[in-house]
Amino acid sequence: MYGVGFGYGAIGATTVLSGGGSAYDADAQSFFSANSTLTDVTQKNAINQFYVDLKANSLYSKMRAMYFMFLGDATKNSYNGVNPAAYQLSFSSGWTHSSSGATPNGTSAYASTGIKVSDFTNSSIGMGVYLRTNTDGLFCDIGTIDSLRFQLLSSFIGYHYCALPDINVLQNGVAANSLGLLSLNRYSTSNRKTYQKGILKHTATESMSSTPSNYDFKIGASGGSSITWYSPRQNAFTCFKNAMSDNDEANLNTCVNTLMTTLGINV
Amino acid sequence: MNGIKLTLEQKNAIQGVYFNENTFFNCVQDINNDWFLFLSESDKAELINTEYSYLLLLAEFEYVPPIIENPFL
Repeated sequence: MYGVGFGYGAIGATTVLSGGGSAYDADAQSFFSANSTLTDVTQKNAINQFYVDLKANSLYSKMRAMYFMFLGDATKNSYNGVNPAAYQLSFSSGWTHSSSGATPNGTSAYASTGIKVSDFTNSSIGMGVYLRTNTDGLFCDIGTIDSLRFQLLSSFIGYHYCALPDINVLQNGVAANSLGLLSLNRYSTSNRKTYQKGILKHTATESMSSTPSNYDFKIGASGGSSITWYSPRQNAFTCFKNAMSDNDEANLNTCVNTLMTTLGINV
Repeated sequence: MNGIKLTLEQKNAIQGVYFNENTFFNCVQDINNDWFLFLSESDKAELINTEYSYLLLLAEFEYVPPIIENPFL
């Protein structure tokens, strides 16, 4: 839908007056202005606080795109919270959108992001999903794939794993379930980590190619020329980011969990 | 799981077509390579009184998914 490159929002928690006299963070206000059908005050206040919390922890500038998937319909869920004019999601048929999250049907539903690996620098790429369904299986919650290389984040038989360019192996970390914030970072062609709820689960140092996939990231599935590994797991939040430190991941988890707890949808 | 079974022509008529600003039809094949469409309740509500409302009248059949290779095993 949009081909604009990544843009960064204002640094620092500044506020502007909304029409009703309340003050929102400037970047939160930009998101609300673009997402004009979003009127739920509880959701807006929680999202605003999330922006404030990200900035207080020096995390907002490291975010490339983020999607609040609990806003109740495809249109509201589609806007990128970092830059609403870029990387708006396109949903396929088969999603159920609610105030708890967006649930793909596990058979045919996915969302296109327009975000490609080539949009990141090769040495720093990260992504995360907040899942509210504990389900085992060969499911992909964020992924891109072509015939030679693929990147994905998923959960399978009690593990969550990622597979980055040229590494067709399970990179597993023991996870009790597929709940909460699952996060994947690649720091270089020989260093990547996976996290669950802000806790480091696995570090991998195998060398891998930096040649990226030619296809954009999908949410709720993986795919390139064809789509596969459809996930049935409810998604409340998705983000793409610079690769973060262990401390940043812990703080990001705290911010996301606060958001979910405020809305009563934490797991 | 049941889904709307489509002919190839029906699939070609809607695959990738947007039925609202942010949502497009995605059809998938079953184990026999027949095409199926799965609509959520909100999708169905969107299609009422549109040019695609005929889809809501098509019969549903049991969907048997294709066998997906697990590259990690």
